[in-house]
Amino acid sequence: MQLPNLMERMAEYFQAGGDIMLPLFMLSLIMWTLALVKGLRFLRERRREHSPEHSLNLFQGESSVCKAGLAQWQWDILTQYMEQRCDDPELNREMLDVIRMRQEIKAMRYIGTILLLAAVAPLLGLLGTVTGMITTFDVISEFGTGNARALASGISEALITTQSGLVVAVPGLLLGGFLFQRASKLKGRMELFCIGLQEQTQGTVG
Amino acid sequence: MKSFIMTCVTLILVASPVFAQEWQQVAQQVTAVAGQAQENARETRAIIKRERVEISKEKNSLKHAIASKQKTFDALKIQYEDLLEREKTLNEELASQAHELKTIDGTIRTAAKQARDAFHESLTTPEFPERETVLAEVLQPEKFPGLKGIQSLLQLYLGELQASGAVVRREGNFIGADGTDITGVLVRIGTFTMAYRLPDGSLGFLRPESDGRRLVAVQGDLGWKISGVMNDYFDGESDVFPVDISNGAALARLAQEQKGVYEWLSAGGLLVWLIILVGMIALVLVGERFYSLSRIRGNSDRNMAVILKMVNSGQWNECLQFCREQSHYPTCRIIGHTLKYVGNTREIIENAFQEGLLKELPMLERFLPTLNVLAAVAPLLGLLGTVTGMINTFQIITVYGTGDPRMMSGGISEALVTTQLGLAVAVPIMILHHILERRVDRIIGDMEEKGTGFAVALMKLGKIKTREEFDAAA
Repeated sequence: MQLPNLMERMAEYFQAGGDIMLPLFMLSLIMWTLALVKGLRFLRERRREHSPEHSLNLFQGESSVCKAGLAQWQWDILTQYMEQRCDDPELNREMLDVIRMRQEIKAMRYIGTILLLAAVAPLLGLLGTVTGMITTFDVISEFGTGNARALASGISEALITTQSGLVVAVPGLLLGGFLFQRASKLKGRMELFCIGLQEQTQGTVG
Repeated sequence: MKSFIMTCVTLILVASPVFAQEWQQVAQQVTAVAGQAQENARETRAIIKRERVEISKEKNSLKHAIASKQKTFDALKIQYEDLLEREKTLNEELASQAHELKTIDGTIRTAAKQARDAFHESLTTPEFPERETVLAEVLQPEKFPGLKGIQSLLQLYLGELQASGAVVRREGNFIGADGTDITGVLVRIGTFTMAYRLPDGSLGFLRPESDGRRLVAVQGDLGWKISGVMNDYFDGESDVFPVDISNGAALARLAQEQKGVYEWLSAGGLLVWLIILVGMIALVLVGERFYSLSRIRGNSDRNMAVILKMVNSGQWNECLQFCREQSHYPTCRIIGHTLKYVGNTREIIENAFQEGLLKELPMLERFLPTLNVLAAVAPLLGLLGTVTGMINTFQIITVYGTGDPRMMSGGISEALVTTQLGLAVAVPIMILHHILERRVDRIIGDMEEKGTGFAVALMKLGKIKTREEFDAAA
């Protein structure tokens, strides 16, 4: 199919869905952007992750090399920990926990938003359905059931919004679930990294 | 012969008494008479013969005449039959032509009726008031419009065609929104859009009245954008003018669409107000949360830097003072609370910190569960409204049947408006709640981090005793 034709048909489809299509479209746009940004960041960070020993070695050397060679969260944990670390191993562990928690929150960031947006999309679709049905019944109360064409516009609004809501929601939920899994795996790796870091630095004060 | 015998007898009777001598005389007389009789007979025969000849002659001529008449008759008969044939064909022709004429008549009348209907819908009719008379003439029943009528009808159509390609600006009057007669500047664009501007600056669109003779202002507010464009046109500053290419349907829709929020809401019944109440409460709570949380965030890093600097240089009182001054920041409040326990064991300090955190948590998370509940309640209320509306609809169906969809639409619109409103209220609350929740999470994470940093700072200064030291001191 030719591109202009496709665009035209999409615009028609969009228009047939009524006012709800715009927020729905924005929502889907935000959701996909967040998901893409998040997914890309995960992929990029995964490639740059290193073992605690290696990262400590890097940390001893040039700091810019170290920052470029490590994943963002490893760099953050490492710098904060090395800066704030003290004699008390228990306090160290707790501090590391707090630092790690912050990174975990960072890892989970946007995933809740993606899931929430995916949950909101069918609601918006439902809202469009109801709006479309209201249009339909307005038409009925004005012209009776004779004017099939006028009826059809309300009904198409109702159906297209529902459809679009579901089309936005299903991949959103899948993406959200996938990213959630990635994030929980990352959390596990962070914990391992922190334990390793603590074992490596036990007893030495920076 | 009879007369001859009679004559003889008579002669005998007459002669009997006559004497012989007289016989000679008598004989002579008889002979004379006989001769005369013979003469008469001959004459008569000749006459007869002559007459017979004459009669036969006449007969012949008559026969001739009859023959010729018969001939003429035959010729005439053929001609008559010819004529009959012709009459028949001509009759048929006449019938077909009469049919054609009837078709033409019907077509013209239909065209005239269509023209009347079209002109009643048309914006140009008030400019051409003569249309009505022309149409009335053409539409006169029992009378063929004639060429003149057809031509004038054609003229009307052509006039309309011309008018549909013209932009006309004129002074004119129309029926205003309040039903009074108003005069203003009118602009007509083709046959689909007409607008007015009054001397007081009010603008609007016009539609023809049902019989087409007058113009009526379309109800509804135009909005500032359209008004601006129209004003520019009326002032002659721009060539752009909004048109309604749907031939009035969009303008009718404009008037109908603006039926007002209140009407829309009141179509939804009582539950609508409940949902709106829920929405308002949620809005107030969200506003309050955003305000308080935005005050809390901000410069906790800077405050922490100040506090750590004071702690590192051992300025305990100043630090306490600073925390009191900045006590609207929860981080400062917690650290101020923790500062009172400086010098105790790590557990005690940590517990103090946790206590402060726990005290702050309800402050931060205040109303968030309520918002969650409100977000969940709004669609439920909408659903309740749906059910109520459907119950109303079915009650109406039981009473009136399904004959009139208009009767049912009340209940159905109640059902739909409540659902719509419930969803429309719930979706933003959900999103706002999510945003607030994330913000609170971040603040708590921040506070925990600051608290650990503070504890580490104390530790480095040796202000935290180990358990053994503490026990020994006790």
